[in-house]
Amino acid sequence: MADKRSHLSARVRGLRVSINHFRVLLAGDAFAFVSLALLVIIIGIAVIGPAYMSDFATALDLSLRNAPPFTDENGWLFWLGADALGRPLIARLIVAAQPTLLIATSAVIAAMLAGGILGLAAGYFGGLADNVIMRMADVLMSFPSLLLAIFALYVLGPSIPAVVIVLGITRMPIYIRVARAESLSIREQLFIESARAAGARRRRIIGVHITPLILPTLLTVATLDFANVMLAESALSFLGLGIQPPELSWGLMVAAGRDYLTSAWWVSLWPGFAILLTALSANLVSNWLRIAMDPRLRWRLERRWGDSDVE
Amino acid sequence: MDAIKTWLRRFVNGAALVVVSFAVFGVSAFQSSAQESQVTIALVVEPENLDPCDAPSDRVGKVLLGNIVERLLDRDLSTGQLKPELATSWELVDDRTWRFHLREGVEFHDGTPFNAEAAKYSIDRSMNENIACQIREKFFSDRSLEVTVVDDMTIDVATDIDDPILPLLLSAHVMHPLSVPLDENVRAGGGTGPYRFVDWRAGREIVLERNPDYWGDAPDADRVVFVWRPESTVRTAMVVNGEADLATDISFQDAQSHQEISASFPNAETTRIVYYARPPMTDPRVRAAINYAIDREGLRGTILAPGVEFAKALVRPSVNGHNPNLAIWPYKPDVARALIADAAADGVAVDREIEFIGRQGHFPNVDEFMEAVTAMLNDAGLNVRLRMVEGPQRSQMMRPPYPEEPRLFVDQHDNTLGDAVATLFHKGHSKGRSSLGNDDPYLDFLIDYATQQTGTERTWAWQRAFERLNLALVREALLYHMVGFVAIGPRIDFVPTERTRSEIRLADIKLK
Amino acid sequence: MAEFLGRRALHSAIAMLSLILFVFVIVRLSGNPALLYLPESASDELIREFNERYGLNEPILVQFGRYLWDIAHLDFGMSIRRHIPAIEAVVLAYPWTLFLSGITLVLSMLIAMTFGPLAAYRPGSVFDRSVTVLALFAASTPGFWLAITAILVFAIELGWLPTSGVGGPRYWVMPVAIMMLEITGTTTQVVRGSMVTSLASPYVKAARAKGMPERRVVFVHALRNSLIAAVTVAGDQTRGLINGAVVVETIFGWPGIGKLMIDAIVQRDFAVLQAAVLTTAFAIFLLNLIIDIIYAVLDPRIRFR
Repeated sequence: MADKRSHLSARVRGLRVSINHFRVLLAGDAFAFVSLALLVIIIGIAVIGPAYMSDFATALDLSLRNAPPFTDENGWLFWLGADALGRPLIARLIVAAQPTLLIATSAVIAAMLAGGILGLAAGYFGGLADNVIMRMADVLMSFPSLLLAIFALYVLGPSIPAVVIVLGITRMPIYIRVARAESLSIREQLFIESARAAGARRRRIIGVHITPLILPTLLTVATLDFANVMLAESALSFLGLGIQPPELSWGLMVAAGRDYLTSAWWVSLWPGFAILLTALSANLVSNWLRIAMDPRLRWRLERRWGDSDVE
Repeated sequence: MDAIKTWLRRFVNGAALVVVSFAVFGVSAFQSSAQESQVTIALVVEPENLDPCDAPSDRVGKVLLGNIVERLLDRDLSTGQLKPELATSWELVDDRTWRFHLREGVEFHDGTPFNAEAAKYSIDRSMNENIACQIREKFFSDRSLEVTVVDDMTIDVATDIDDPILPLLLSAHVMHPLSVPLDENVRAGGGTGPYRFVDWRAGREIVLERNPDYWGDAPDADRVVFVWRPESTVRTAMVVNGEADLATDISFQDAQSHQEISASFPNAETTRIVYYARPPMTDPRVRAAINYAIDREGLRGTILAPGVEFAKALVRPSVNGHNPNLAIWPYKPDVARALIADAAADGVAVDREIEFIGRQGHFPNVDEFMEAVTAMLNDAGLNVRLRMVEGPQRSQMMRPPYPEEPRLFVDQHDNTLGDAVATLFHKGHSKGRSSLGNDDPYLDFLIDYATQQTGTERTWAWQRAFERLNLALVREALLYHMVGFVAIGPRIDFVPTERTRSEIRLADIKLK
Repeated sequence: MAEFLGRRALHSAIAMLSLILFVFVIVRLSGNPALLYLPESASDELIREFNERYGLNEPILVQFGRYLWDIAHLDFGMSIRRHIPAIEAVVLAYPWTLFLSGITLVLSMLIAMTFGPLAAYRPGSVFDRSVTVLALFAASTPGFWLAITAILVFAIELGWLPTSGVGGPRYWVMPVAIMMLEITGTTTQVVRGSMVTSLASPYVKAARAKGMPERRVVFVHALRNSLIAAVTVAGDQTRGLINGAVVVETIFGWPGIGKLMIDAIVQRDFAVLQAAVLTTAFAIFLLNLIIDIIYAVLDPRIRFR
C-alpha cells in the first residue's frame, strides 16, 4: 500500500514539475505557442459560434449566389464570399467547425477508450486474449484505413455516428499496441508485484495501478492522431461517403465547391484552408508535446507496430 | 488430379494476364496517342459494358447507339414520325403482327451479312430471359415477341397483346451479328454502325474506328476516343485545353463561364417531386401546399439553368399525350402556409418528419437544389429533412414494399419513346412499379383504355389521364423540363439535340 | 529466423481469412445487388431471376463456402457489370497504382534520406525546425483539396499540365506530387528522429574519433543505421499510399485499383470489389513479410521471440 501511495505522489509531483517545464518549453517555441493559441481559438469558435451563426449559415438568398469575397457591400458576414445558395461562407465555416471537430474528437476518444481497454487486456492477461486481440489489430492495421471506412460506411449508411464509429475502429490498433506495450512493462514492475502479493484484486490492479500510468501515453498519442482523423473524415465526406448535406463539415464544403472551381473558387478554398490550419496547429502542438514529453514515447510511436516482437 | 490441373492452368493464365497487363501498361503509360482526325469525347462515367442489350442505359447508349449498333427504325425528333434505318419499310399483317423489310447490302463489322436471320437473332437475344437485358426490361417486360423469318430480307414480329404502337417499341431493338452469344452478356459486341469497336483500355478509354464498309455516308472522324471524368469543371477544362473535343453533362455554371464553347439542348428529362401515399401527404391540402411552396421561378437561372422550362406534365410537349391545357403552379408561400395550417387544424399530422430523398450526382447542382427546396417546404410549415442517398438505394426505396414513414423523392423521367405509355403505365397505374403506393381506379381505367387506342383517341385518353393525375389527384409536384449543356471544342462542329443525353451520333460530328 | 517468418506467415494467413470473412459479410449486408444492376422499373420476378442466376438467394453459408472454394481456385467470379472476369479488371488496374505508388515512394524516400539527416545533424537549428514545420505542413494538407486546387491552377488557369487522365509524363506530375505530400513529411520526420539517436551513439563518436570525414560519418555510417527506421516506415506508408491512391485516382481519373474499388462500391459490383480488396490485402500481407525479411537482414541483432 505504502509503495503504491508513494508511487502515486511521485507521479503527481512529476506531473507538476512537467507542467512547469512545459510552460518554459512553450514559451521557447513560437510555432507551438501560436498553434496552441490558434487551436484554442478554433475550438472556442466551434463551441460558441454555431449558436450565433446557424441562422445566417442556413438562410438562402439566391440573389447573393456565389457572391465574391473581400467586399463589404453585403455586410461583414459575406467578406469571404457566399456559396451557391447565397449563404455567407464565414457563417458556414463557423457552423461547420463544430461537427468537424466534434467528429474527430469523438472518434479519437472512442478509439482511445476501446483500443486502450483491449490493449490493456491483451498486455495484462496475455495468452489467448492477447493473441486474438493482436491478430484483430493486425487485420485492421494492415488494411488501408480509408478502404475499411468506405466499406463499413456503405453498410451503416453515411451518418455522423457511423462516421465516428468507423473512424474510431480504423484508428483503434495504435491504441491497442501502445496500451499493450505499456501494460506489459508495467505488469512486471515491483509495485504491481507487491500489490498482487498483498492480495489486491485483478480489477483493482488494472483500475488503480495500471490505467493511470498508461493514460498519459494514450492521451499523447490521441493528440497526435487528432489531425489524422480530421483529415480522414474530410476525405470521406469529400468522396461522398461521410457527412451528408444538410449536415455540414469542412470536407463537405470543399466537395460542394468542387462544382464551382472555375466560377467561384472561394467556395472550396476557405474550407480547405480551415482544415489545413486546424490540422497544422494540432500537429505542431502535438509535435511539441511529443518532444516535451518522455522521449521514449517518440520511439515507441515511430517504430513499426510489429516491433512489439522486438525487445 | 484434374483439380490440380485446372488450378495450374488458371494459375498460368493468371500469370499470363499479369504479364500482359504490365506489357500493356508499359506500352501505354508514358505515351500519349493523339492523331490527326481523332475526336476525343469526355463522358461522366465509364460505361460498365457495351453489350447491345444495355443500349437503353444512358452511359452505354452514348457510346453504342447509332455508332456501333443501329436499329430497325428510328424516330424523327422533329416530326415524331418513324423513319427507316435497317428496315426500309414495314406494314401491318394482322392485328398483332408487323412485317419488316430489311435493308439490302448491309454487313456487320465482322463481315457477316445483315439479314432476316440476324434480325431475328438480335430480337430473340434481347427477349432472352437468361440474360440481363435492359431492352426487354424497359420496354417489353409485359409481353413476349414472336419473330418469324419470312424470306432472307423480311421478318414478321408478332406480340401477344394488342398494341397499336408496336413499331415504335421495336425501335428500342438494336441489331448485332450472330457472333454475340445468345445466353451470355458480353463486354462489347459488333454491329452495323459507322464505327466499330477497337479497344477498351479499362478505366482509361474506349477506342472506336471508322467502319470502312459502312452502308451510309462516311463520317468525318477516323478515330473516336471516349474518356470519362466525374467533374464538370474538369470536363470543361479538357475542352478548353484541347484535351477533348466534346464534353457531355456540363453544369450550368461551367457553361456560363465558357459560353464560347458551350451549347445547350433540351435533355428530355423532366424533374418532379413525388411521395409515398402516407400521411400527411394523403391529405390533398398538403399535396397542394407542396406545389405552392416551391419557387419555380427563383430556382431557374440561379441553381438551374435559365433555359429550363416549367413542366405541365411528366412528359415533354413533343410526346404523344402531353396536355398543354394544364396549369403551372404559381409560387404562393402564404397559401401554402395557410393550407398546412388548415390541415393541421383538422388533425392532419403535418409535423410528422418527412424524409426528402435525393440522389447523389443526379443532375448538376442537385445538392443545392435539394437544400433550397427543403428550405422552401419547411418554410411552408412542413417538417422536412433532407437525405442524399446513392442511386441504387433510392431505387430500392421507390419500389414496394413501401414503409410507413412518409418520404418525398426528387425524380427525373425521360420518355425516349415519344408516347405517354412509357410514362403513365409505370408511374401512374396501380400495377406500375413506380406508383409509390398511390392508386386510383379511374386513372387505371384511363391508362388501360388509352393503351388500346391509336391516333387522336389515344392522345385524348392520355390527356385525360394526365388531368386526373395532376389536376384532380395532385400526385406530384411537377417542376421543370431540364436542359443539358455540352462543351464543344474548336476543332469540330456538333449540334446537340434532345437525344444527346442518351446517345451521341458520331456521324453528326464534323471536323472543321 | 525461419520460425519467426513462419509465425508471421501464419499470422498473415489468419488475418487474410478474417478479412475474407469480413468483406464477404459486409458486402452481403449492404443491400441487394440486383437492384443496382437492373433498371429502376425491374419487376420482382426479374430480381428473383437475377438472384438465382448469381446464386444470391442461396443460404449465406453456401455462398461463403462456394466463395472460398472459388478463391482457392483463383476464381473471383465474373463482374456482373463489366461482363469480364473480376480478376481481369483488377489485374489490369494494378500496374497503374503500383507505378504511381512506387514512383511516389522512391521520390519521397530520396527526399527523406536527404533532408532527414541534414535536419538531424543539428537538432533544434533553424534548418531542422524549418524541415519539421514543412513536414508537418505537408502532413496537414488535405490531399483532395490540394488536388482540385492544383487542377484549377496548373491545368485550368495556367494550362501547363493536363487536367487528368493518363498519357505522357506530364500526366504523372500532379498525381505523384499529391501522393508524395501524403507520405514525405512523415518519412522525413522518422528518418530525422532515427538519425538524431544514431548520431549520438558511441559508434558514430568512434568513427569521428578515427578522423573519418564528417559527410561520410553522417551519410554512410549513421544513415545506414537509420535505414531500418526508413524501411519500417516505408511498409507503413504503403497503406497510406493506398489511402492516398483512392483519393488521387478518383480525382485525376487514374485507372488504378483505388478508382476501381470506388467504382465497384458505387456500382455494387461484388466480384470486382472482393477481388480488389482481397488481392490488395494479399499484396500488403506479402509486403509486410518482405519487410520482415529485409528487417532481419539489415539488423541481425534483432532478437526474435
